[in-house]
Amino acid sequence: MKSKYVNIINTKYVVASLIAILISVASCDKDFEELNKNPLLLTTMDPVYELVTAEATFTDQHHYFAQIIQQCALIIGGQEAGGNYNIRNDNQMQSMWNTSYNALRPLFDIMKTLEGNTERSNLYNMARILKVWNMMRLVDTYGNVPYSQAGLGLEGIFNPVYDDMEEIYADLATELKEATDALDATKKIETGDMYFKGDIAKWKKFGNSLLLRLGMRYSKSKPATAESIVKIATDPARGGVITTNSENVVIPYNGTQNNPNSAAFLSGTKHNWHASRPLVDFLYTNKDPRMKYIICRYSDPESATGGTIDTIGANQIGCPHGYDESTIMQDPLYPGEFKSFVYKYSQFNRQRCVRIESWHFIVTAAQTQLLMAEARSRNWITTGTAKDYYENGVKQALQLPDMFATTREGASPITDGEVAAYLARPNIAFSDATALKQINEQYWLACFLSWHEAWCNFRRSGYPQLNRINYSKEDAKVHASTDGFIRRLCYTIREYSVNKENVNKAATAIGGDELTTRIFWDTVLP
Amino acid sequence: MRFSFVGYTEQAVTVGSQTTINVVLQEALLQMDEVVVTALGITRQAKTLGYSATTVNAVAIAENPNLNVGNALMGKVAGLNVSAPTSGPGGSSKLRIRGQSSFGGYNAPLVVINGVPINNSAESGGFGVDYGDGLQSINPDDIESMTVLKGATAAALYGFRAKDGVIMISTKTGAGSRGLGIEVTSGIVIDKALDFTDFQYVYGQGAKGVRPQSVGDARSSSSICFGEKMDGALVWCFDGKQHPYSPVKDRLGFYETGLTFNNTVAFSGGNENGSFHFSVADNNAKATTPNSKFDKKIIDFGINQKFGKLTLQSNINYSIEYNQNPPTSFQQMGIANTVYTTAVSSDLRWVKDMYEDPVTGNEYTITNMAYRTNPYWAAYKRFDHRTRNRIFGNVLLRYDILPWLYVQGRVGQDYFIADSENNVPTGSAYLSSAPAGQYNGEYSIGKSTFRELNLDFLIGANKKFGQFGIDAQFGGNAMDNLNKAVSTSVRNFYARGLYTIENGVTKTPTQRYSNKKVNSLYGTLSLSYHDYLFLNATARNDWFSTLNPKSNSYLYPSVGASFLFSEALKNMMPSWWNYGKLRISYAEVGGDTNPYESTVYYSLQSNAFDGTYPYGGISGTTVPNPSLRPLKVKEAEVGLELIFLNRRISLDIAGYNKNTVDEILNVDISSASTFSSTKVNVGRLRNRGVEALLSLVPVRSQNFSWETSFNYSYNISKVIELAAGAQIFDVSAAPMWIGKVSHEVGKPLGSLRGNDFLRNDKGQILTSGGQFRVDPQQMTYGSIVPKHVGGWLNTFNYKMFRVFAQIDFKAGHKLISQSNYNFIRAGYHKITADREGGIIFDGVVDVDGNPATSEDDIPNTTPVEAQTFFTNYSSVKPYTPFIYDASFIKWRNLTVSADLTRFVNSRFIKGLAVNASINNVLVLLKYVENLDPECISNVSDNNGGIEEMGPPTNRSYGLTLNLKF
Repeated sequence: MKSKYVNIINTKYVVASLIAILISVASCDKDFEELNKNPLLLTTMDPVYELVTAEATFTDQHHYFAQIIQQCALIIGGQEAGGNYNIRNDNQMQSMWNTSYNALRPLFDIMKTLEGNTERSNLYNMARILKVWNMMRLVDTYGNVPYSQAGLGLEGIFNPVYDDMEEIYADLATELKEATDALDATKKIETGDMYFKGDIAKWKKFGNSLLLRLGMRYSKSKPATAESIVKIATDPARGGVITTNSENVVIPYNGTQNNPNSAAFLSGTKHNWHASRPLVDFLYTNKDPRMKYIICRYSDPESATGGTIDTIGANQIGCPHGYDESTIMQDPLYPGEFKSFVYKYSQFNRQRCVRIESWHFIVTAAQTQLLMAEARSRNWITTGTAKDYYENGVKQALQLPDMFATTREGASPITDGEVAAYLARPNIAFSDATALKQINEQYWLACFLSWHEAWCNFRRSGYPQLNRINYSKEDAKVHASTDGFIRRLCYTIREYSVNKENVNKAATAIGGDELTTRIFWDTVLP
Repeated sequence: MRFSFVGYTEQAVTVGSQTTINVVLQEALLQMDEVVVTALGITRQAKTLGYSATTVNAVAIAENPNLNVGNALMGKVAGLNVSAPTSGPGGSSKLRIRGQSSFGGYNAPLVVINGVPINNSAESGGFGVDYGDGLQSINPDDIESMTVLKGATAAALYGFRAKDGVIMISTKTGAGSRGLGIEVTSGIVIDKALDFTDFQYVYGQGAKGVRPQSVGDARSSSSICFGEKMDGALVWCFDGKQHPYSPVKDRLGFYETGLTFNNTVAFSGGNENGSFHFSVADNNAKATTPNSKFDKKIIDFGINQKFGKLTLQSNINYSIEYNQNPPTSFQQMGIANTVYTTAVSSDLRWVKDMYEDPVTGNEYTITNMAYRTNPYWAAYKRFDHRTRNRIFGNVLLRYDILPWLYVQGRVGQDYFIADSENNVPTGSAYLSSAPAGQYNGEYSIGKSTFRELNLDFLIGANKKFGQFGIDAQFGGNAMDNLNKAVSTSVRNFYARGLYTIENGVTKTPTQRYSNKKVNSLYGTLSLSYHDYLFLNATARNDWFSTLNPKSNSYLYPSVGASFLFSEALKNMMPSWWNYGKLRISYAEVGGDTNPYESTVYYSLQSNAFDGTYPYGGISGTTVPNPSLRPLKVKEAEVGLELIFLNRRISLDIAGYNKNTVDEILNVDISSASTFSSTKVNVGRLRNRGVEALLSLVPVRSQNFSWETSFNYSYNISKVIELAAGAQIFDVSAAPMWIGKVSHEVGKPLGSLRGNDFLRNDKGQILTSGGQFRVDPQQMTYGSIVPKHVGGWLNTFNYKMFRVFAQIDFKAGHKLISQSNYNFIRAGYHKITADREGGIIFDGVVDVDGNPATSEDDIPNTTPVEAQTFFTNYSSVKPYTPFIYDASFIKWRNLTVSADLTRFVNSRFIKGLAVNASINNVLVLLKYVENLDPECISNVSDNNGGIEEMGPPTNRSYGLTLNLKF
């Protein structure tokens, strides 16, 4: 009985299992190609999903831009120091570079996929407009940057050459005009688009408003170029520009996708971020109705709620620039500290403007109308009056939804009456004599939390007139410069290690990789 | 009953009714017929091997109080570098053989159990916690034998998995058992955290030279010691009370006594046709960190049965491993960083019962540094639970067709499911606040599955023709490796204190899947001549599913020779020279590859934007490379084995040269390409070294013997080539503070790099305003990989007692200490004590405006207020003061065991033994201040030399009782 049992194992199981093993090895790599396809990922994707990825990209980090234009102030040094001290902090300087090129990856991919596709030409052109938006910000920040060879990683161009900033700008102007004109309501409407659900009229206004902004950049260096681009951008036959808040371009942050600015102001280091003195003083002096919704003091700034919130204008003390933790007590208005390193200066209102789900504004009616006011006062456009554009710009800024409200998308609590009162105030009421100053001061306020644009416009227009930070240990070049402001951020350390030859050429071409090197449109006025 | 003695062959005598047993032990024929388990589980006579294979004493492993078998190997094998991370009792072990074979972070040997590979990768979770590796699933008491296959030739039959050598483990099948035996092993281990701090105890908590003036001050400045001289007067403290302003020197009072219970019951039995071994083990380890523990239960079953010409062998190992709150060294929930940097005048235990604010329910903060979490909050409010159910084993059938010919087939599988859940507690101070009406915090739950199936067959023949012998095998293996995981994490909650997915506001589900196959065919051929010359050759070909089908086949060959000159020249050898063997070998083996890396994929984000707009894009930022191939290791090895004076002296030395080519490197590319890197086969690396094992038996008498052995290895690596023209390849940076590891062409692997002080041409440190600055150019401080590793092992036998003592060392490597960085910048370190009247730094002031020249430089005389001065270390971050020689010599272990069998000479109890063991007895030499140089909590090679304020090391006291029935 037992030997029979052994025999069965012999003949059947041993032979069968060995044969099975041999067959499985011998069949070798038949299924390998199929096996090496990741079943959880796609090999193609509806490109509109990539458009939303680009639309959701945030580049308005507060470490430099907010502090250079003196709306936000940080006293303490360390990892987050940058614009507050006028110093180079590579980690913070590179974030714009990285996020912008990241946003360009899906955009270049859409353009590659849809090139020549007549059905989805709208999506193709929307991607082009967003490409311009990102490239413009890169040039505005760094000067010469990779453009003609950018985004070709999959094609094997790993270390692209840098292009001349002015040439990039010229091409961006052409791209923007062509892309905007090519948007066509009779073609497929891209309802997956996050900004406007594919609404062609609104996209045209976005494109034109961006073109207006681009044109105005030339106002200092090449006014004639500025004028010609502005004329094209504002030509009503091409669809016009943004006039009211319902046409604003917005990243709709929410409880899931949080506003990165707010996240920083609500993080573990939330007590370190203060409202700047020039901002607080400007708002207070002019009895700005926005002030109580954005500026406040907390009784316990380290806690989640901040404790009790004091929004009374007269009680606010903005934080001055140019100090650090060892000198801040020399500020004549120094309010003291709650405890070591937790200072009693004003901060931003966490229940309103820096809620975790606050919207972020890309291009607004207020900005656009104020640019129109300037263009009109320069006589580059001939319709309307500068005063009307200005007043509409201020009104749109004061009545911006979401920012001043306690709830997401909430309407501005500022009434038409308050707007009128504000517009009647001595420094605010429009005057042709001080038009440029007034318009661009309002632009500065209208760009609260859209700090990069505030910085660009400050460099272009020279307004508001801010005092130099003059920090004792600031960057030597900034210290030696006549104006004392950061005019540009430096190329990333990473470029110097991976794309050395090209970045070195670019640094030479722009006149040195310095905080003080000027972007081509930021010429020094005599 | 078994009798054994050093240098003598073991004898088994069946105990019957006799009252006296006389045994004459015969001197062993040395290593002549010693059998070693080699690759694929093939047993071979040691003398025939052309490569180095070291057998590890299984008893020494079982007696070690360490829960992880890997860590018990520390200091025991020449060429094997073991580091035990400080990551709790459930942590991993870090094993490296002959240096590191690649630029990557994982260069661990393959672990093969009973002929089948198992997954030994270290599993990690949120905050970088260490859940343990594959060796945690093995009960040391179940190990029958362990062999370390060091070089490429030894491991060559494992082809693409052989680049780092192999740890071969055979578990018990009850071989040699007669009848039924029961063995009970019970042990207890007590762990104590080791405190090496030697701080200044002059100045207490406070800022700017002032002690805390209020509770608010106390709760703000408890991370810094820039207060006043401690005078014992009452001062406000972070617990809201007043305590004397005096030193609290018990720095690690937060840590508790660790307590581990180990119990194993094993049954074994057999007859002339077969045997079995069955064991159940239960280990419960309470860690020194409060509320942290590791429990495991292991069931192991092994059987060997002959049915005539057919042999069936099977081993199955089932384990349940439960990790509760393994420690992290990440700042947020890292407990150690707060423990170490709580001011010298404050005691954390004051807030032991008040870590939760009674009004808000939030963390009761004790410092203004938001990331220095109250450690009691971290210990009791954060949870991280993980259970792994794992079963691995194999079934082997072997059929002896003819006396010299056999075939065998085997099925082996390693399968586990790990369930984990963890949170970040609501109200943790470092978290961002949630939107109104919600509560911040995080929760995550996940399940991961691993399965690797190996089917293999082998046909073997062994025949002699006169003076020639042939031993040949041919076989094949099909591997199928599958990894799957699903998890969901949520952020912010609707209701407070309920950590569930339903209660979470933002839910982010993720899914992972990876499947690859490798098919292999291999063969071995061994020729012998006259029993003194042996030639071995092997070849293995691997086909990879992960590679381009056009080029997915790679061949891995090896050749080796062994010349037993003591046998060949038998008549000419002196009688005291018992054994002499020369060996030489060469092999090429490979590295593994990952699936799905050759094409572009697209992925979608878990949550549509604003709940409405799906978004996604190209997955990852690496440009795929369809022509990647696995890296290759080419290794040549020579060795010499000598035995003299009947084994009183034996020596085994080996030298090797190991070249790694075609390393797959993630080469950074400009982010303007909109990608960050691409993978390229470019790197080249060399490891060279020698290993030696010298064993001596100075005393060998009837009642007393002393065996002593030294093992030593020297390994030096050199980076030969990186990506096109690149000189430096950065592999890691410390997540916080300072520390950076790079590979540099022309230098050993793992250069620690950073910024020195700014100096003049004489090397004097330049100061301005009394403060030093740093040189923006980074310099290299040395390698993080030890060059010298070794141990000195002693065993004394006296009658029924045995004493084992081990000293081991590592030398020739550097580390950067984040702890000392924090100790200096915050006023703990002894050098900060001399601060009265401000710090006058020993530097110079440049006068002529040319910092390079020193002629004009005058000594610095400017005093700087202490806090300002030392805070400058964190502002400008000089690396130099925090780079240490990481070398050490440690008295690792002392074990005393006694065989008490004769006291219980009853009919039921066949054996009784006790042993007491201490691990980490004493540090005999070290250079790192305030810390154990082994205080590294990460097992990745990339972070090797970065000490990042992980938990302290422990001293363990173990007591074990072994009963046999």
